[in-house]
Amino acid sequence: VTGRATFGDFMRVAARYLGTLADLPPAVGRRRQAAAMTRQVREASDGLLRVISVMARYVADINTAFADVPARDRHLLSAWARASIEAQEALGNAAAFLREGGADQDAPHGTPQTPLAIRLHAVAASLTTGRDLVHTHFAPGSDGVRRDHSDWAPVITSDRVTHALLGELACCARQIAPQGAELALSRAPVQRGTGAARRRLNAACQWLWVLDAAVQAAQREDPVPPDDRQLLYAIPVNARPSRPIPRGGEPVTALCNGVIVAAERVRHAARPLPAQATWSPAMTSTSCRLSAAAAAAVSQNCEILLRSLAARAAQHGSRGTSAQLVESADAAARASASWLRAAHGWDLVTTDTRGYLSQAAADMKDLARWTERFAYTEPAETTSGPSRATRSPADLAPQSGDIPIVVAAVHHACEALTRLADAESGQIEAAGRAGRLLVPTRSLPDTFDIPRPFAQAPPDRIDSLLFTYRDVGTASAGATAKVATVAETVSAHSRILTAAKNAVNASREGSAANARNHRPEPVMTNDRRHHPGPVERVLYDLGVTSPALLQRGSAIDQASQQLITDAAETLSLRQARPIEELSRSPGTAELINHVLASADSRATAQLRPPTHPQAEAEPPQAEP
Amino acid sequence: MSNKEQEADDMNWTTWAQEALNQASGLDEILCAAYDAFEDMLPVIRGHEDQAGGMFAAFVLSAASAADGRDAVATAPSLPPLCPHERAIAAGRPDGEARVEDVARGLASLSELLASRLVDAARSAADPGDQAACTEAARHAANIHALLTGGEP
Repeated sequence: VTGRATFGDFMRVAARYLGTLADLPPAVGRRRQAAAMTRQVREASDGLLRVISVMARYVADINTAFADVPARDRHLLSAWARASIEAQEALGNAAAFLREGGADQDAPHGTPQTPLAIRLHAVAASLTTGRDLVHTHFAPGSDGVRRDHSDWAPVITSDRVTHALLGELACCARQIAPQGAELALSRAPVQRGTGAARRRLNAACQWLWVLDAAVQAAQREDPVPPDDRQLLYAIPVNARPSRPIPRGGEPVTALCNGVIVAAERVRHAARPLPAQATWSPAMTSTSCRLSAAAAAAVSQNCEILLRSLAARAAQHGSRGTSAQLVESADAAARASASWLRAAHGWDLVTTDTRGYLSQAAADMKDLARWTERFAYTEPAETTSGPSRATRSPADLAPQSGDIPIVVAAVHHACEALTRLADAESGQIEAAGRAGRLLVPTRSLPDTFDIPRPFAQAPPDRIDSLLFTYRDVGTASAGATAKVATVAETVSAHSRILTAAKNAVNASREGSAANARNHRPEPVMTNDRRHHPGPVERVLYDLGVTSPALLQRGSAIDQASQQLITDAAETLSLRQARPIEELSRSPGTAELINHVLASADSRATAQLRPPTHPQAEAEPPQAEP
Repeated sequence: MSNKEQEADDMNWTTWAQEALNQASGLDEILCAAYDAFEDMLPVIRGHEDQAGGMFAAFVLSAASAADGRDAVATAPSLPPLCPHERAIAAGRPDGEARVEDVARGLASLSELLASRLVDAARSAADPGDQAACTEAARHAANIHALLTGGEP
């Protein structure tokens, strides 16, 4: 709605590239085909290294809290923390295998020409841009430590979103591994001396399966609900949306968008207010008065819209929704009254600077203007007086399907007021401490003999103002909560605001898992594709299309996978042959791949590929 | 008090305030009259905003501008420490039962005159502090007029 790019935009692009199976080179002469295969392996290794590098950076971002936990203490960590550490190790090993073979993520061999490599480079670019987008929500502080730079920052670092992110990375790994391994173990003619490069490519893919298995294990223990994935996808770039300017005569959908964008601008502008209160010239009574007055008007406009929607919902026969809307309207009326009291509080308080208007105040004025155009159908003129025509229920939501759109707009407006109340409260507290709040000398009792037009605000006036703003915060949060309930009921897209709040709260309470009283369906199992095993693959290669035969082949593959896993588990360490020997021949490598692809934690424990001696965590990347 | 009496009182108040502004000669008197006009607008607006209905936003935003205008005038170096009209105007404030549209009309008319007198005062003032204070206060008065007449401030 705000026109800003979201993390999901880039993940969807990556998924599109990942979703297309690798094409084999066109059938040409045997020698040329061998050269093409060699090139494909080399370019795919470069591309895969690029993808793995950016995935490793994502995981390093997540792992900062427990990267130094020794292996012996890992059992004390949560399933997701363990998965994150194992994912980092898997990516380190995969990268080391590829680097050993001369792969270079900077594509030293020129622009990739082969289909899989082209797609891998595109996936890497999407993942990199997605990470850059996420990093716009953080900035280094004066001490060089990363600090939150937006209201989305705590959402991004919340357990629920980081789990969803690991799930996405596992999904990428799961889709890339079979394509890379298929290329590595291809039966097409190859040039001499390429065996080692292909084995290393296959080993890297096996480590991607290990990553997937680690995340799947966490997923089984503490599933990621679909809402968390939606929340991850909804992370927007941290940039103020452009100012929407009402032209007059906008349809309801355009008014909704205008309100949502204006509300987003208020949220964005409100955040830095407390930190800047001690020095900012824009911390003026003009700004605070305007903000409070505009907020009172916005709340009242929201009340009008909610009452109108309640009437419309009742007309559509949705009595439950109608009742919820009436409750929301009452809460908005209480919020309006509390903002009005805050505005009154500024009648006899001023600031040491005047004449400047803060961005938040200017944006609040815009929000008041947009909500007013939404709530009323005629302009405010003295001739119409108090009986100004409001928008009719039928005009507001012609169809019942239009109700969620209007609810979303009101929800965004109420959420913006809640954030503003918190920010203004912090701002007043800081400005009061800094001695920036004044009162007109004429408003003081005659016993004060001050030869200046303004004097320092007495503590009781500051306390009174702060008390009023705390009340404003409570009333605004109450209105937002009521509208959030309606948003949930009518499935308005603004539910994401509640999801974000819940994610942060769950992390703060340290009980993300316990907070969920249900075990939702894992989101990652849906995109698990069927990858044929070695026997089924041979049948395909033979041109077999009979479902019965293919099903038998698949059953044999599953049985062999089970047999290998069970057998490997019974072997003692002394009896077991080094695992790297198992993957030396394409035939056994294919079987091992099939077992690893099952994401069975027993299989990955016994048959995981060898750890590369040079495997190390991705070096930290400088902040952009 | 009957409605007719109340309306008469409203008219008295706005007429009184406008008359004080019109009669003010010299910068100090204009500043005094302007300060009192802004100061007295506040309780009038506050007393009617709850019944303002469709004019609620115009009223609450006007109150913010009235307080800003008063603070701006207060910074003028030529404003005397005590203004002679202060208590007389305060005595004639309308109560909350006057019709909202009449109050809005009276305030709009008063703020228009206020803006005009303050612009003139800014032009004639010798002290830059007075000029700045009058200019800023005139802007807030013009805002009130625009808000209460349906314009964009």
